[in-house]
Amino acid sequence: MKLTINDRPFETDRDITILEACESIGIEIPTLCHDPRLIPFTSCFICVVEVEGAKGSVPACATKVREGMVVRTSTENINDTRRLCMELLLSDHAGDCIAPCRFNCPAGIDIQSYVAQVANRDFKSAIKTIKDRNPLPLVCGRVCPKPCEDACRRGLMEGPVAIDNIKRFVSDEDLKEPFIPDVKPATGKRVAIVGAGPAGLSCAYYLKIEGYDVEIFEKSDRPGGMLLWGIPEYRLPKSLLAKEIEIITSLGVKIHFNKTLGKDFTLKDLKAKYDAVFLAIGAQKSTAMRVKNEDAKGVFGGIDFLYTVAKGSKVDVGNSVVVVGGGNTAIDAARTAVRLGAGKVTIVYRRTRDEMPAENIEIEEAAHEGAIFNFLRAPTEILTRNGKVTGIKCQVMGLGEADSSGRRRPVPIEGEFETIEADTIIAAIGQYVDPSGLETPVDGTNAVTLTKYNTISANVDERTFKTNIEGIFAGGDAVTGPSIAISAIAHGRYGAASIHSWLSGQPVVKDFRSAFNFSLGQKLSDVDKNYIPQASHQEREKSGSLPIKERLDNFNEVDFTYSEEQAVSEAKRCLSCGCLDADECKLRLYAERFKINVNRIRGSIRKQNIDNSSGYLVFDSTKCIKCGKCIRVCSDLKAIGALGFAGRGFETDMLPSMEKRLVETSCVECGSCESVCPSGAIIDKSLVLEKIAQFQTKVKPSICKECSIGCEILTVLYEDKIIRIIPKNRGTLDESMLCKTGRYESLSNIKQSQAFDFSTYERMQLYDASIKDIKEAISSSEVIINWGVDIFNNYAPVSFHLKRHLDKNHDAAQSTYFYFKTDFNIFGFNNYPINRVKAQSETIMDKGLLKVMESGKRVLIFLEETSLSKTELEYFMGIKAKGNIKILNLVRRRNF
Amino acid sequence: MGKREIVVLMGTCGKSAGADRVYDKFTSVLKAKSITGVELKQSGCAGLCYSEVNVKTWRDGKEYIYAQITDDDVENFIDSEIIENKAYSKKILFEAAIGDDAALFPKQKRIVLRNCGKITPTSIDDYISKDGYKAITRVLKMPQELVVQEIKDSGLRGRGGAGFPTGLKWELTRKNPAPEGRYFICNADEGDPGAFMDRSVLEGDPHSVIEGMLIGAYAIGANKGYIYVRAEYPLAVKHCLKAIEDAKARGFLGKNIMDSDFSFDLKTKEGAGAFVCGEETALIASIEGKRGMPSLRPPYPAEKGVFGKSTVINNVETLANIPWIILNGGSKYSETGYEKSRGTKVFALAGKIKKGGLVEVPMGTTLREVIYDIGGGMAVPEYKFKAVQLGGPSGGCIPEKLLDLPVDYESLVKTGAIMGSGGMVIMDERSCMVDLARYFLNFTQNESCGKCTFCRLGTKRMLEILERICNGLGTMEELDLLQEIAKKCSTSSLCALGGSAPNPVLTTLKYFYDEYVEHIVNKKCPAKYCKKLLTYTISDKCVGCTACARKCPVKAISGEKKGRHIIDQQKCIKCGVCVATCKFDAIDTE
Repeated sequence: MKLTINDRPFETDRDITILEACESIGIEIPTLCHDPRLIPFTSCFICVVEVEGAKGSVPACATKVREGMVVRTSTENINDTRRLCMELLLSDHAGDCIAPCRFNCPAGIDIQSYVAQVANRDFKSAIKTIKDRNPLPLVCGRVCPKPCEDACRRGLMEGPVAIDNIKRFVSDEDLKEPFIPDVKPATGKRVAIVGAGPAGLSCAYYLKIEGYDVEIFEKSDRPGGMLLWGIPEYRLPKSLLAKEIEIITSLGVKIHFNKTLGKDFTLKDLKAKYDAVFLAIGAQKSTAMRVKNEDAKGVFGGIDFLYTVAKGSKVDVGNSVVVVGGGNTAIDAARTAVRLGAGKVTIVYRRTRDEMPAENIEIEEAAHEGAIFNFLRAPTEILTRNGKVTGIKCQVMGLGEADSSGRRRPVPIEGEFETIEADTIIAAIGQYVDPSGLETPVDGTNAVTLTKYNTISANVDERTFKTNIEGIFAGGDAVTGPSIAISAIAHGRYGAASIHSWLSGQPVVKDFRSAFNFSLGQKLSDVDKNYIPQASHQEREKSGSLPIKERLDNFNEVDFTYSEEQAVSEAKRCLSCGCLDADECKLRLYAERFKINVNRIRGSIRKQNIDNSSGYLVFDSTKCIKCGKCIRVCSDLKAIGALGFAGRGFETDMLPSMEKRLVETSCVECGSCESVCPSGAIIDKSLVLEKIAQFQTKVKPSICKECSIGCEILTVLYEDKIIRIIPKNRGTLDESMLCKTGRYESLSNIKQSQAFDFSTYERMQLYDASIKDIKEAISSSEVIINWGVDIFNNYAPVSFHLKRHLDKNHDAAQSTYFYFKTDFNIFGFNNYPINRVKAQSETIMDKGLLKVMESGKRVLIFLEETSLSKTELEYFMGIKAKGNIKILNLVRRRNF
Repeated sequence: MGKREIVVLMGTCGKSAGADRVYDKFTSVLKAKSITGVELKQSGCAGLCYSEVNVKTWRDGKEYIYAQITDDDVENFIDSEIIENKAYSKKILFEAAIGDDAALFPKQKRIVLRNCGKITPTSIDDYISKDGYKAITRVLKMPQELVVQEIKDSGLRGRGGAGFPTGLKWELTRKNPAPEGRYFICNADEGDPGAFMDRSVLEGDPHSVIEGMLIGAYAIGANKGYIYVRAEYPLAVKHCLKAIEDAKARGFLGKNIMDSDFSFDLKTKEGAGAFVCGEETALIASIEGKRGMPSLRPPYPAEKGVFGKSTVINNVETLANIPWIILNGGSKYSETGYEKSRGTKVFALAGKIKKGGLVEVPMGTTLREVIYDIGGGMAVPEYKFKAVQLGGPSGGCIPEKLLDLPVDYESLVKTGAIMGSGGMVIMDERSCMVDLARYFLNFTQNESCGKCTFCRLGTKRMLEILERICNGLGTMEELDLLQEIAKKCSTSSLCALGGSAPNPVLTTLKYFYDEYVEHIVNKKCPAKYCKKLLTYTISDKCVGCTACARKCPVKAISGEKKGRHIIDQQKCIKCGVCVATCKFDAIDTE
């Protein structure tokens, strides 16, 4: 048969489908519903191709090749069809590929994983997961405004999971015996970082891990930047901060203190001495109010005030303090003022409580500690006597139309003013980047470009953090203007990755964000509660805090860390939104490949329908694409028929038969449906760990030891622990389907620590068997295992001796056990009276291979080295047995 | 003439109009008046559905069909017809010389419906008296190839919708080796809303279908057969079962039929009401006891059909033609017709037409002739014809300008519609074309088996877009998306259900695009049908009778007694009760 595929001639004499023909010449046809072991179903229509003369597009998975056929697999029309098909499938999908918490975290920490690890009490792994993206979790566990929790789906129930408190617990725990990352061999390249704040420290940490020689230049005498100077002691004790930074410096990061850019060194110097520079100078200047008498005694900038206090200088704030501003710095200043003994602290803000950018909990705490809020007041003048503050005059405001930030704009109410008495006025209305030292040219005539807001212009969108000058990178507040710590930390990490790729000439490793990610909604308000994972009611764990009266005269830390029990219990609240199939999901793979825009086609989504009744499997029909693979495997290959289609049209669903619950059907829980499901509609339950997430896992081949069939399997290892067993799908029947025992029940039998690392075993000797060996071995064995060798046809002497042994020695026969790898190799013994040998039927299910090998009995194994797979060979060679095992390698010889 | 006969036409349509009551009344009145010598008979539907209950009599060489007979008429009817021996003139629909079908049904040619309304369907003798089972007797003496040739000569094509030449189908099937025997299936899973010819034939003349199957089975060498009939057609099922039983008793079915070597075992299989089971691969799955889901062809049923065996599936109407063709010759059949469409076609007229019912016309008759000359034109003449939906949910709508098109497979496909099973839904100006597309798409969406992505989800998203347009929420971007999905759905679906589901959308877009735009851009429904787009206002014709205000369920109408009322548009839910209530035509709809 001659045909043309993509203008290339193709010839075959076999009765194959277009899909098979294409695969044979390396053309991949995407398909969701096809499985080579099943009769083509042609439901997904992703596999369509163009065949000249055919009406419409043709499903490649089921259409047989014909003489003279002209096939095109990737025309514009075909690609459009596939794209539309994917868009339609995704228009009826519900779930999150990546958990929303992770998505909302500027640093992209794999929150779902570390929360699961805490639920499993695996705190060591949890800190590793966190530090993969954030080297300062102790800090973030205390000061982070938690964008992750804003997105937490549990927020639609009793309240978000207390992610930050969990992180705080883990990092406090870590201090006992800190996690030190592996540092790669030195590259010999040097990177200079300006500023030892969160961005600089984070960048240093990740560059150090990559093997760079990193030096930080810091203007003050201590590291921490805004974390040290800007965050009051009662929120983040300086001693703890120092400990966490110590972990970074212990890796070999050098910090030069009291070195100011533009004064003690220039960018040009750095550029000459180092291979790359990262600017992380922050935004440390207080914005002025621009009102009369701002220079009077008793007026502070917000950050200047906090800096002075942090430095330990004595500040007399007097009796009444007015703080101007609505952000976290204003609240920090107010709560600090309370602790310095102010009798009355008033926070003046030009909008209302609803528009305040400060964290809610901070505002509440400030109020508890006695701060008074005076909303809709904008300062117009500072009142003084003898150059000393006496009060502040404010314009009374009202709220107008919403501005670009979506908040209602404050508008002055003409003629209405209020005067507030004050001994101290703290203007915490904003911060800006101090660009001194940046204006001098670095190479030739070029200086680092600044934006119109005086921040450093760096490529944030593509996460390269490159400035206009080759080799100079920048990140953190210096680029964004004043922002949150985790954002600066993220810049440091992404910046380090960018510097590494620039210095090593390697492409930047793609972040999860750049992949296709289906989401129930990035904003919690967009999320339909009916589609989030189900869980029973459990209130958010409360962390304790100091009673108000014990706070006011000191700077002791206010909030407490969770206890271990609290942290674990809170971690269990996690709904595990990130799909556990995200890495294997073909739907996601093709959505990514075809660049699908999920917003183009939108419509109603089928009702969530989750069958949780099995102990091993979960069915979530909202992720089902109706490919029918599970149904067909169950009925056509396994002949069980526990699943079926129900309903018509849009409401068509894959359901356990007769719409019962799965456990009420004929289901044998073999998991074959799971292994063919192209999406996350059918997944394995976690049997080994309390909670699983999108963990980094490894896959290792092995052999199931539950019975003598010895299916080849893949073990999924997480931290050297087998957490799942999946079939080794090589497309043939016996290798792609396991049973409940092998796949699930065995997980609890496996000796987790030793069973699967072949290398730890003593190597077994493999004998090329002679007839004499065979004869002897048979008569001296208690258990004989025939590992898939066709003894009857190919090794007559073996079957002859075996038979003779049994015939001659009735008693020996009675006490000899036989195992056969596959049923169809029972050769001559089919004719044997079954009571004469304790055959496999008796022992096959109750004694697994491993048990037999470790039974202490004299075991003889026949195998044929040349017909074994690598896994089988490794397995037999590596078996460490308590018993007395002999393996005879049968070699086909003429004189045998 | 001898004995007098009164025949009540008692198809399902007749029964729902009260034929059972009329029949019972005849029985009791005849008894009460002690009239003997009058045989009261039942027959099937003659296709005059608009005028049921129909009663037929013969007198003085003439055939009379009466219309709209109720039980109140019966006494006078008997007095007039039987006692006074003159026509019951009040309710005569037609009178013509006996056997003069051309006079009774002008412009029609009745082959398929030849016995409908004439014989008693439950009487095999009645069928035999009309040359029934004569054709099979003749066929059993013919070589099989000749039988196939005769059908090929006739030019008969599948009446189920696709129009595949029947003789060729038989011939191709014969060519497939079938050591384990073949199946012959009658597809009576008539599912199109508005099509009911198969039901009428099975109810009114079941033996003609069985005889057609026998001939086909003989020709292809099949020994087993099924009539796959909808369970929603209980009368058809009943008549089929009775006919099979009677035919067996007379030796027309079973082993060694009429002492020949030919045996044929026939059963009925009731479908559970899934529209898609009319599709042949889904029908096969259903007979096999599986979920009715289509599969890819090839392999065609001719090669691998029921239980994997070579199978022919023919539609009811196709089969009813077969005995006639054998008796009259293939060439005689092909004398009637147009281009590649030979013979006649039965149409079911429904919608806003005066004479709804079944008509059988020669191929090539124009749509205008069918609708106006036979169907009598519009039901309410002051509302003009707008379009006709041909072929049910899989078909398309044809506008006024194309009415002179001849009824012919090829001509109709060119318009975007299809012949389909022959359902014709006539619409006037009051029908909204967007709503029409929405209606049919809703049907196909609900009936999709859910297998193919485009059919399961594409039709749903199209339906949602149409619903939004009907509710005034559509956008022009969505209209583009609608077209895009529609086109892909028709080229990327496994079976005809998905492949033709977009047809109502595509044809209404083709012929009534402006109507869509009007809904989207101006938020108006030109047909004044889409309620969400209507505004009700009260004109100065209002006399202040307060009737509408009292009926309004949301109290949106207010006004002084004897003064002009007004409608609060904010409150109005557009239910239309006020319009129905107003006796002064004072409520305007925009």
